[in-house]
Amino acid sequence: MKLTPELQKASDKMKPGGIAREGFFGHDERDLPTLLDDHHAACRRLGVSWEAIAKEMRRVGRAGDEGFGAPVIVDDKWEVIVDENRGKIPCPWPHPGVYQKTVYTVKNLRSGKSVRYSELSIHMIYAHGFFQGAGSSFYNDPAVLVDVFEIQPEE
Amino acid sequence: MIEINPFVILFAAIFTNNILLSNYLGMCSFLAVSREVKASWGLGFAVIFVMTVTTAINWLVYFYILVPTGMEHFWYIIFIVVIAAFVQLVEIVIEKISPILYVNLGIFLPLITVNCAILGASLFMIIRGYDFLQSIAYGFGAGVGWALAIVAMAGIRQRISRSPVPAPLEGAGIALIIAGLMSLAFMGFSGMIQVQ
Amino acid sequence: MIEVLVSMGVVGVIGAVLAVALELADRYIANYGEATIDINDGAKELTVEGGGNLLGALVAEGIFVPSACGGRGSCGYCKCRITEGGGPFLPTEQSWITTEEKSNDMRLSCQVKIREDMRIYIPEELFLIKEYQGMVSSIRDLTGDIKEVRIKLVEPAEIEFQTGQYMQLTVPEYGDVDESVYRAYSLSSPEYERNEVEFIIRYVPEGICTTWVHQYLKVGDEVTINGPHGDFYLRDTDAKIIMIAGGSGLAPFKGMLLNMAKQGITRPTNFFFGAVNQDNLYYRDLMAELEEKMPNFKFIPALSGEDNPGWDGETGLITDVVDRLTPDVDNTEAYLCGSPGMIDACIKVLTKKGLTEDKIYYDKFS
Repeated sequence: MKLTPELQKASDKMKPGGIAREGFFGHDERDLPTLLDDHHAACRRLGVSWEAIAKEMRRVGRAGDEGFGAPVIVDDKWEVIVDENRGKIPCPWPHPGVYQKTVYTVKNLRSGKSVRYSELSIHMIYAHGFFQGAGSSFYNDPAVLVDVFEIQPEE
Repeated sequence: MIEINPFVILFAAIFTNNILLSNYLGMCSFLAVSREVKASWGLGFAVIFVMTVTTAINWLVYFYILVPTGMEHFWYIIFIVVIAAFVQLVEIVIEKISPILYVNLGIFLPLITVNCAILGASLFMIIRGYDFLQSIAYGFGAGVGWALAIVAMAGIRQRISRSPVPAPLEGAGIALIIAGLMSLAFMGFSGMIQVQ
Repeated sequence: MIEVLVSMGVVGVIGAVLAVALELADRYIANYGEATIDINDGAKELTVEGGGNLLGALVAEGIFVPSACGGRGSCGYCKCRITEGGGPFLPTEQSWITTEEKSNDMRLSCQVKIREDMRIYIPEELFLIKEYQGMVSSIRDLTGDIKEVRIKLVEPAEIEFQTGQYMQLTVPEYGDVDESVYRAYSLSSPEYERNEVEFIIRYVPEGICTTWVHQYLKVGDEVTINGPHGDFYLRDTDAKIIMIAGGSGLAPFKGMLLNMAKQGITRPTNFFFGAVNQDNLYYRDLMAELEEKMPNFKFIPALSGEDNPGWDGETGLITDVVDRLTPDVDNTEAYLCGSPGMIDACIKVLTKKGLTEDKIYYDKFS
């Protein structure tokens, strides 16, 4: 399918080496508009907005800051490890803003499931509803995120 | 030549014989770009500009070069080449004289080069036997009609973006259904005005 | 037959006319010709091909204006003053240039297209930044994910810098990465080593540069670096020194300590190094050697993880260890290198003890 100029620019930057080593599509064959549509639909079916998911990811992730790399127990529900690296990277979408290269690993203590994401992936979920393609290093399915962060459906 | 007031042709091209909703031309950029309202305005204006000028140029080329040399049967390829060259020239000129205009309009030009609605407008004006003034009115009207359709579609898609669309219809599916419904609505106008 | 020739002729003529029109447009309209760029009132003058953006032209001529986003208008680092020839102010610059800066002719150099002669003003320090061609002389594993990389300088063969500054490493196209980028790393070598420089590079998942270094780079490979950048270096006073680092933040301190040892500096120094577990520690032998050479220097690693059998050193968060082992801050300077979170937390601890912010120097990982 053809892309709008903005999505075309974003899609080009998501290829390997554009911003991240392996790119944001992973081994997913779907193009950007299809990925966005599918993930937005998944969020609708779960009854949760992608902004709400991103907010929880940020809240819990940041609470793990004080460990400086060592695991921190947050709210008695999650074990969080925060890994910081030098430098900032831009978002593939052509808008202002660069994001710290911070990696969060969050494990739900009850279910044992864990997810790994970066500061940039929080932004892409919050601002664009983009969860990345399957196989990408920081890809997380919306359903998995809702499960790990125990997000309740909105009314 | 047929005797219809250019203004009538203009009105018809926008509403009753909308090149997108009645003739289904220019669908792929319509479906792709109507995701965003802002981009739809940009592409819409670019289409209006290109459609108006290329119908004018192609009319002149047809009646002053192809007809006198008996080469009417070359019209497809000549029209396509003229359109492509024109779009390329416009892009170069806009980039030079106004960077701001280029950012808002110029980036859509590559999407227009092979837009079948542009070629369609040129072909229709010949088929319907319009004279020069009628052709310009038609080109301009068809462009406005196309722009109207894409902006309306973008608005609708934005409204339903958070609505519970059934999973199999996500994305292109629901967009085509909406386009079909818009066509049905415009079909109510058909036959109101005689255009050929 | 005649119709075929006429057809060919007409098609040919139309094609030729359009081709000529496009060629002329490309040559005379799209062509911006050459432009002169006057930098800092004649301090430097460049003649460049028009049509490209200012940032690219400056970098190509060896003036390394900073950028974190590759010239897309996302980071806002490439600002410079353009008093002539900047063209109209673009919407993409809007977000980064304040109204006050705008009235001062501040522009985003990656968005400004070179169309005519220009007058620009950039910070003086940018002239001191040079590009160096070098060759990898050694790559050593320090821990599971940290490598020490030494680069011998070829052209120019010598570098002048202050220990603690950082360089930008040019990552070439490799594997399926088809765009070259720059990444910043602190120099871990001391300033008296002028022909060879050293970096400590930690592997980051999805990192374009660290993947290149850890999986592709070999001894003997040619590399390009530019610098030096930054203002993180040991101040020349007689104050006591507190050094705090985590992970690869140790790099600038290695250089500083080697420098101090060479120059016989005897300022009392405590180096707090935070890590999670013993696998993250490195250079323990080097630190022991330095402790012997400099009786006033102490290396204090602190492990914050829970599982450290046989560890008899300090444990707990680095902030707590610093707090506990720093009785007073009279006549003291603090140097911090690591993540913004760690630095902010340590600054809080130090200021609570009474250390003023002007005596705290840091290189935040940003």
